Amino acid sequence: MASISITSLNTKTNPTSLQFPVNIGGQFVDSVLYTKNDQSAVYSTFPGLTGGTKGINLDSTNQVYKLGDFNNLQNNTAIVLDDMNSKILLTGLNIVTTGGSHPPTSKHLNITIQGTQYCIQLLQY
Amino acid sequence: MASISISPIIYPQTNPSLNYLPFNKNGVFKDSLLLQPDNNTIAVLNPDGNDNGLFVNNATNSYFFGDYQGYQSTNCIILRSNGNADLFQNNLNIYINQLDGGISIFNDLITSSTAGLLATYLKLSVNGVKYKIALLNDTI
Repeated sequence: MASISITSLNTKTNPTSLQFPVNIGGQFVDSVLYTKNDQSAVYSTFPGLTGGTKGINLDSTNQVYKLGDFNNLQNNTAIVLDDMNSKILLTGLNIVTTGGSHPPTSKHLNITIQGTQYCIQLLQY
Repeated sequence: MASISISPIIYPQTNPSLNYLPFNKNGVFKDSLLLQPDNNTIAVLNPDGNDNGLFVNNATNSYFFGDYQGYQSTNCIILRSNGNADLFQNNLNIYINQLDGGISIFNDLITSSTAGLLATYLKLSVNGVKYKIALLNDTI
């Protein structure tokens, strides 16, 4: 990845192209935010992550806006706003439960409202 | 739109505050409202210096969006993905495309009935039509 270097003043931008800079110790270094294709998308990536991005993904070209672990790199809890298709997607490995005090064949969406846990029964689509 | 001009006469500088992401204002790097306090966290700061609006922490798998500090409306979405995930923990206030009559869920419209097994309902509006969802006790 090319860096932009102003050698005459020994002043540099952050090293990685398309990565947003952040001021660390008076120097521009790579932040965790980057843009994939100039102005239409913003992603976050974090050290040690493999397999994709995580955190936020704002894609104005495809009109998809994501928050959380949307690539299922760890626990798969995320919200995705798909404006082009007018859909809202919620993911989470442990938001659907079966059994317990409810009929064992039914599925429920766990939801916490102001600290109180509830279930919403899910019907077949 | 002014461009960043790095002149040998005016010594180029970073934005003034550490850990802030910069932006170009009239050719000078200024602090944006984005803060990266460490390599696992990105946050939006208000003018008073407190974070609110957006908070992403990869280390704790916490993702907050909206007024999660409760400065005004407490309208927010909070995702925690730490193996004990709670969607919409804290305040259940979600306003999505509200002006166009899209989906909105109102914290202050969570209601309780006077009797019966279905004691609480979650009220929501989908494309301008109001519905309610019965909330069951979570004893699983």
